[in-house]
Amino acid sequence: MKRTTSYLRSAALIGVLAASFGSVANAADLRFALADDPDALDTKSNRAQTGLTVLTVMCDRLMWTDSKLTILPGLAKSWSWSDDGKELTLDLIEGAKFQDGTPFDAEAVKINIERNKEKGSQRADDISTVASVEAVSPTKVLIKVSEPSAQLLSKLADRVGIVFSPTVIKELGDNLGRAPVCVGPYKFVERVAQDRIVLEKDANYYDAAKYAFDKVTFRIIPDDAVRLANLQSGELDLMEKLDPSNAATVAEDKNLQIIPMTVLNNQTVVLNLNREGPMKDPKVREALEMALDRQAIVDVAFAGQYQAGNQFVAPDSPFYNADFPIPARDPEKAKALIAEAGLQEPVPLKILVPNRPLSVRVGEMMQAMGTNAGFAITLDVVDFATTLKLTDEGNFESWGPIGPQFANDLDTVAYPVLHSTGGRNLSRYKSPEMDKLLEATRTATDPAKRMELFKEASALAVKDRPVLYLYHQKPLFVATSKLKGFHATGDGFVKLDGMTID
Amino acid sequence: MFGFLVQRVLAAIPTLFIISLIVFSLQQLLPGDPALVIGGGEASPEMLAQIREQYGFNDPFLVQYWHWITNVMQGDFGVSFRTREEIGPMLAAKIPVTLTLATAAMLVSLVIGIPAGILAAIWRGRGWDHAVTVAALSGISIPNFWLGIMMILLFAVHLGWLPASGYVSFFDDPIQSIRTLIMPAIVLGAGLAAAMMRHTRSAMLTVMRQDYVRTARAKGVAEKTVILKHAFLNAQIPIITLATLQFGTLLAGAVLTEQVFSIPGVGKMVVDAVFNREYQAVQAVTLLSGAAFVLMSLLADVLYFVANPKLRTKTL
Repeated sequence: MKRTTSYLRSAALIGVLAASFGSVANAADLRFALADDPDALDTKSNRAQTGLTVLTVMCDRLMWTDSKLTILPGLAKSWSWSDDGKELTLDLIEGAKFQDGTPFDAEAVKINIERNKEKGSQRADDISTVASVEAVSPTKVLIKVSEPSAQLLSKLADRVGIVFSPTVIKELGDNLGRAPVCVGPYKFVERVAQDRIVLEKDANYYDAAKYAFDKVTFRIIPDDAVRLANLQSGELDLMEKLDPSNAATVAEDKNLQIIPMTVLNNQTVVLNLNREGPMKDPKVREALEMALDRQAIVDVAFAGQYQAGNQFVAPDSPFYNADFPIPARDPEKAKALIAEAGLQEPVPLKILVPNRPLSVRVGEMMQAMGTNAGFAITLDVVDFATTLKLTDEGNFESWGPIGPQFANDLDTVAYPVLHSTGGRNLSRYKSPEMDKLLEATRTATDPAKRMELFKEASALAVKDRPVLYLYHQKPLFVATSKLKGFHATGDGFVKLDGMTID
Repeated sequence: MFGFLVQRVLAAIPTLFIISLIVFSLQQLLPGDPALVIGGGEASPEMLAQIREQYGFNDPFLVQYWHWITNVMQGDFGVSFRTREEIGPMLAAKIPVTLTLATAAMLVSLVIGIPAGILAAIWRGRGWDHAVTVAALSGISIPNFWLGIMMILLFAVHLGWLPASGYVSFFDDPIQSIRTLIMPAIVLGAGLAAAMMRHTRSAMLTVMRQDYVRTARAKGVAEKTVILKHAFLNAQIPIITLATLQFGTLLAGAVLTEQVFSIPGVGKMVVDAVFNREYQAVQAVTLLSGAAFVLMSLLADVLYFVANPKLRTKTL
């Protein structure tokens, strides 16, 4: 009898354990894997893409952009410019509340924009043209700019457009990112560095009915293979940054779906024009371009998942200058150009490559392509922080692949790299003509005129080659096939309204 | 004994101070500018200058070190300039994670390594000895990240028995905690078990050649008693030394295993800190690692006392 009871107890215990082992997450929760630990969850200090991924799930913005980069209403339901283009009036939605219960109003918008302009803010350059902000009424904000600004709306549809609770700003100051509170569908619950960030649905959110998940857990899993394995094993519902070389495997898995995203970005090789050496000669820069087969780079390094390109926008963009298509690889022409430049083959070239597997893969392909086109390319593979230091000091010959990861306005991918005063003009390219064109794009409020200016700037960049544009990333998301309603902002950040898991 | 322990703890203080000074100096030699990491490539020169001023990067090395050490003595490890989180609490949250993983891996190492080592010594030169030696060599040779990914693919993706990665506190959910620990503990413990087995085998072989073992056998003592009481008890000292050293290393963070299994431990924190040039976080982890080794060395001394009666009578 005693033995039977003991067996029964053991069986019951095994049953309980088995039940626990087989437990699954609540279907009303979303488990989303990120490839990097987000930086500060505060627009004033945020720089990393993953930080904005979390903030976009949590917070509304004053405006949004769609995939065509059209500006859409958000917390600002409408807006209007004065005739001279120096005053922007925002009409805010009514009745919204921050996640801490503080009412959302024009004063809060004013406090946030002014905070983003403060010394030391990462956003200060974004809104340098903003001269003053005024709360005209609880639902009306007047922004005065020093000169007409074609990109201000895009900035309000980016991080500047996220509005934090003034109560929390006062309480936490520069440490706001530890527990951010904004107007949005999900509120911050906890963060365990390098492990997870947990959000839960804010029942007071004005549009809460559109959101299906009660809880969102971001898990930080840097290793590509492990991130995918977690999704395959059912531990996750959604992940970002699939290694393109795994796309074919994932496509065969009926339980998963790949979701490619079109985002404004580019990857380049930056050529240091300020350094004595062959790259100072335009003919040698052209020869290097002739040595490269961009489509082969995309096909081999990224399994054809990205898009080859030769301008700061992709070939299918309306801003692409079709008069300058991607040139075909021509090693013989490359060699002829080297001879014209009066140089001996092979021309030595050192490329500084960030120590990331995909970047190294691209570097190695360029190295191989250069070999029979008159170049002897060597790769200097170092960690990213070191490349920043070396390029800032001008202590490099060429650097790549590198480029802006995401943007919702062309200014972000063109001006900083090509204008002589641009923060990312590491090739030290100085062209009065380019400066004039890019400055004109900042004040041209007529979209058609602005597009023409960008196309002219593109043509000039193709001719001068301070950087060689290589390809455009299409970030790959992978989700369980049960996930429906995936969509994202124009700058490539996932939004959860309308998203469900069957 | 107590006096001895106090003496050892006091001796640890200058050791930790020297370690922190060396690491702080070495960090200054790292290429890369933390201001550029904080500000990013797009930061204007004015913004970079301001960041350098704000974080004291312009100060001479010794001034920076003085600021850091005086703050640490007041319990302030600084703030991560990337996430704005306080480093002290961040590290404190990681210690139980690493401690749990280290303990689990150590258990795997002891449970596999010691019996395998004893058996290999008993059956020296026979089939079991060769099999265990090959297994030990494999355990040492197989890279952790490869074994980790293979186990994830087998046990999480194909069989669905265990979670692929992550960490759950034992106090939040004991069963889930054990489930998440099984694979990383085996991966980490496998290599350690191999070393443990080799040390146990070698220590046992030395002891089993001693006269008192032969005498015990001659007296007709049962072989089991000879092995476990006469031989193994006397072979413990090198095993204790290795185990405490291994545990100290584990407490400093198992970088690859934590990376593969996405365990938010000390190892993962220090890697991120180095890549982001978060000098203060690297310093904090270094101090912790130093303290862990000092503690383990102390533990080894205590265990020597327990294991060796001769030592007890000599010192006490």
